[in-house]
Amino acid sequence: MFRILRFNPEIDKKPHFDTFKVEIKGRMTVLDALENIKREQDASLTFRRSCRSGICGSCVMRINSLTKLACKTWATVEAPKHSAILVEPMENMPRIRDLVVDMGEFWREIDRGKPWLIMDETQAADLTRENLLTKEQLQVSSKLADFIMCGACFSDCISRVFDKNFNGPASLAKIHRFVADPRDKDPLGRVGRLVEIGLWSCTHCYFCWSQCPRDVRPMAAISTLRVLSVAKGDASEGARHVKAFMDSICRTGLLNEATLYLKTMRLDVLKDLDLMIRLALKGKAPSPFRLPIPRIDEVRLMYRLMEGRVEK
Amino acid sequence: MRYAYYPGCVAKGMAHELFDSTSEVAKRLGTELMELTAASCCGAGAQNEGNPLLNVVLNTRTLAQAENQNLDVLTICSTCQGVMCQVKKQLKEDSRLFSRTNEALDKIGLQYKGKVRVKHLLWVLIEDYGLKKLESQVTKPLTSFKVAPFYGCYILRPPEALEFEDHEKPRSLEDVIKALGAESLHFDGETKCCGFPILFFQRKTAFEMSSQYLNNAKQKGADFMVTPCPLCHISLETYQKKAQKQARIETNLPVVHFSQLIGLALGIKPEKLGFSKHMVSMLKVLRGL
Amino acid sequence: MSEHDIIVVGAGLAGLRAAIEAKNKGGDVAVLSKLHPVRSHCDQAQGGINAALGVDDSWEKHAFDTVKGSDYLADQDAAEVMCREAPQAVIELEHWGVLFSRTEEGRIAQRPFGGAGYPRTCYAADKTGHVLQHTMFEQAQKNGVKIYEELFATSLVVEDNVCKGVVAIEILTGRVQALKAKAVILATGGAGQVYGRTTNSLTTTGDGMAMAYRAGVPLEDMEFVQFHPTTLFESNILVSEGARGEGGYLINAKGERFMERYAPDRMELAPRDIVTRAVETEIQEGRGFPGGYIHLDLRHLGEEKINERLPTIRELAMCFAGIDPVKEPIPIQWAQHYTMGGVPTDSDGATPLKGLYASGECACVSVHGANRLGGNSLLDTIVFGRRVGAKAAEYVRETTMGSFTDEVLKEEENRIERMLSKEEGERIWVIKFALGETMVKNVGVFRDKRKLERAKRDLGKLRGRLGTVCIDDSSRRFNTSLVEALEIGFALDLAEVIVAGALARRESRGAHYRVDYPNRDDDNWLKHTLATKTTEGPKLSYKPVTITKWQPSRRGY
Repeated sequence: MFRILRFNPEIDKKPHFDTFKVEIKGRMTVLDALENIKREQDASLTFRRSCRSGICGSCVMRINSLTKLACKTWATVEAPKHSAILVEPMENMPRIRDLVVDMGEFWREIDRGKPWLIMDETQAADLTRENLLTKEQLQVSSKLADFIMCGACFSDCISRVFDKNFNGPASLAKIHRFVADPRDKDPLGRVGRLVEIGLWSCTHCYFCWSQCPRDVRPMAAISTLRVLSVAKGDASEGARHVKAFMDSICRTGLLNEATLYLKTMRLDVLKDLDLMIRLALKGKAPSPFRLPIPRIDEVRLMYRLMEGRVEK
Repeated sequence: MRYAYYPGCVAKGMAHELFDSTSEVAKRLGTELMELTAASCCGAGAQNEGNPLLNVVLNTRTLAQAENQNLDVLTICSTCQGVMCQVKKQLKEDSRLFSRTNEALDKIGLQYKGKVRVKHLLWVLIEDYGLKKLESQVTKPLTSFKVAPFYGCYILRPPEALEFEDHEKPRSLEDVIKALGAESLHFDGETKCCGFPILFFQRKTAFEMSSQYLNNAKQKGADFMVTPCPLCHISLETYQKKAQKQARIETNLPVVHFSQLIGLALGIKPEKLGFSKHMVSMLKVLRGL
Repeated sequence: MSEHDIIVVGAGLAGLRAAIEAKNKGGDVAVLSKLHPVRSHCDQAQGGINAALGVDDSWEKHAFDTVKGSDYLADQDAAEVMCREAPQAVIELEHWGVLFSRTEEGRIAQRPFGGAGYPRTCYAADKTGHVLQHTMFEQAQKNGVKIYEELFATSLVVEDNVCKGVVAIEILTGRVQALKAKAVILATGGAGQVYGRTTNSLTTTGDGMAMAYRAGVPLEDMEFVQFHPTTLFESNILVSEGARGEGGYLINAKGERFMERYAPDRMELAPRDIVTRAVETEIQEGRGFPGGYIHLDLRHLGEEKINERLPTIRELAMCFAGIDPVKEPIPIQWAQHYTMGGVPTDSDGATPLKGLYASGECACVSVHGANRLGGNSLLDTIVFGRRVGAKAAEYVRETTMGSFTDEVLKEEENRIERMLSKEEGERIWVIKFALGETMVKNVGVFRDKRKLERAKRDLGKLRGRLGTVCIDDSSRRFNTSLVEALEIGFALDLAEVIVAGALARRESRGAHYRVDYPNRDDDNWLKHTLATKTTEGPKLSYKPVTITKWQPSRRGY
């Protein structure tokens, strides 16, 4: 059974669900089922599709509430999860019709990141030889280039639901692809522009990681970009938060909630004065003085050894 | 059952009620918790954004300490659980990282062999202790309660690192809640994010997140919510009133730690479980018990 | 009515490359695509792009391999142009950021491919097309190329023997638009969906070729359809030649590496037409597995090599065939893959119709002749895409914008309205399936007069049935059924041309194999087929092949 969200603004006042029964055979994918429904039951069912092999990114939609590629999602796997397989359009993007959404916002966010190699034009015009680059040098970029711009990560991104300035996992992953490419001439500039496009808005929900049909791991890219941003001297609250954490662990081996809080928020802590008082009254207020763990010198030695070892 | 116990920093700091309730529950269930006092903070994902290699090394140090005692690690915090599972996975997949890490650990007399398992108390109860046995230990079945389980992120994703259950349709909390006699609800947001990782610098977003999910649970009729992560607890419970105000959604939904939930059903006195430390009052729930 | 000096139809590699070049040469250019550019079929190409970069290699050797591979039907001057410009084209791509796989020394790695005398296929693991398409799109964005996405061109506007623009449907709203242009460049790709078994995506329906045909432009060499020997059994998803390039074996049900019987020197790396016929022969003679497939065995390559060089293939096999190639052989069968024929052009992409250009798979220069070598298609799009962009930019500088009335718009609008308002009739997919089936059965790897005539009759009936089709979705908003109905119309036109050319060509050459005429006949048939649309169907004529350096000889591997 398939429960599919339908909406045609030409005729519907609001979205509604239609239920369809399809006999699931063998390795039938959700896309196969949709095509089957469109052919045999309702020709007006509308969805995008092209390659049917998981590489073009057209058929992305929410299946059982998480965003996936319909051509790479098996009906037999999805069926046991609910009484009916729920099929809905992507989230975070306005609906056009049925399972088709307007991906304009997604593309605009990608554009914000200057998603092309920034080259030295004179060098680029010299076509006598390629840039000599090893596999290791291109490893990170090559993995990131796997991505197909389907938008699944954007659709399931929780931060994006609430924060429209957040550039989004796909765009940030794309930016990392260039930052990590030795041929790009502006990695520092790129890293420098990250804070204003919401680098610190990612909430670590890992949905972009779990939902990416190509295992690109955008969240890992965001984490690496944050490392680079902090290393470059990022002075935003997010960066302060990271530095405060590192500091606390180096000093005591533990997270000191009080100092972390103070260092990240600085004077903004005044906003929480009422809460702090209540916490103190309940005996829950974190003490700014925490004793270091036993063998803290081991921790500090590790800090010294690993200092400055930052890779793109 | 014995474990190398990794309570995490927050359980020993701001959310001490979690540490206390876990001690009580462990005693009652006959589980020995050998605390890894010399283990450092897992980094909660933030350390990974300061120095990823250091993050791996320090977490591996914790794992190696447990290995030295021939014990698996028991956590009571989803974030610690998630971070350590991710580190384990990285070490398993990247042999170069594995050797570099051991090179560093060698300097402090430790070596990581890759054998230790890291398990959250939730997993331990299901896999090692057994739900049937847990059920038999219940003296105060929570029969009149509707509980909303909040899984959050770190204990479910990335799925290839956590490997315990289907991240799309997890059942662990539901199964435990049922074993304790209560009704478990499903609500939109149960596997989403509480907002803690950005609570201190993107408050507005974090508040809107937590308010929405709390409200969804409330609309489904939840009497209270349970979470296996003290960081989620801070965001959902400690900051609930502030979040409500900002998002203009009234929730007033009590949120309990996982150990507190077990403790209640096992008949442990509520005073010993630390409910007085909560911001959103548990009185109504406790009266109904 | 909007207007641009140059309109490019199709945002695949050829289309985008042409647009970038034209923009850089100062042209006012816009690209129309019925999909978002990164969804284009080029994204699926796996194997690689050829270029004579090696010190021991030369463009002449590459050109010779291309010509021989084409079974001597390629126009040799065009092949020379393509191979000579290949090294620079590839280096330029590398400068633009394409993530080619590398040798130990850091140079662009090259692997051996079918029909090549030297390993000259540059690759990016086995997702070369994907990497190229995305890089090309990035460069198009960087250069500010205007792209109208989901604008589906349905016909060319031709008056006084000049192409003056296109008529297109905005898929979002169903609104018909006319766009004026001084030059139109068709870059709409191949026509795989004419066949029921194809590696091509569902949107590869030969639109541009059919539009040109309907506008009176002849189509060239359409009977030469390339069938790829290794596609996943049942889904027909492509398993790149790269798998054989890395050392994969083709094994029949008896466990034999049967290519020994057909191409003892090159074995699995003989050109595709030879390998495909070998595969089909094995199956027809009972040495295939039940269901009609044979095995591609990669196990001996080892997990590490497979993960490094062929990760996409491994994933596709696991996902779509339930097989891990590290542990088991992959079940494969042939499927339609590439259209050698298309709109005839010169080496600068100019077609016989003034103001109309074409590039990429939809064009026939002809560099691939009767059979295309692996790795030459991606090259074709880049080299000729650039050339056509430059040529069009030059042409529009010396041309004035034509004009035409609203009439074409109204006509198209009426046609759409008629299609949408039909309440009863056959479903599109029934016609599509029937078309696909007859083409696979009768116009496939092994052809003969009987089967081709059956196909001709079937197509005739389908043409009648097409007129009665009911779309069953009258909404204007994002009507994918309407798009499919228009696409099937294009496909049927092209199928008729393929069948006509195949029936007429009484010889076997390259991918066109006639069981009743199994030999190549240079005396009578060393010529290109041209098919022009008439009310009685395609009318055939012929033109000579351009020979510069290499006289046709026996083609053995």
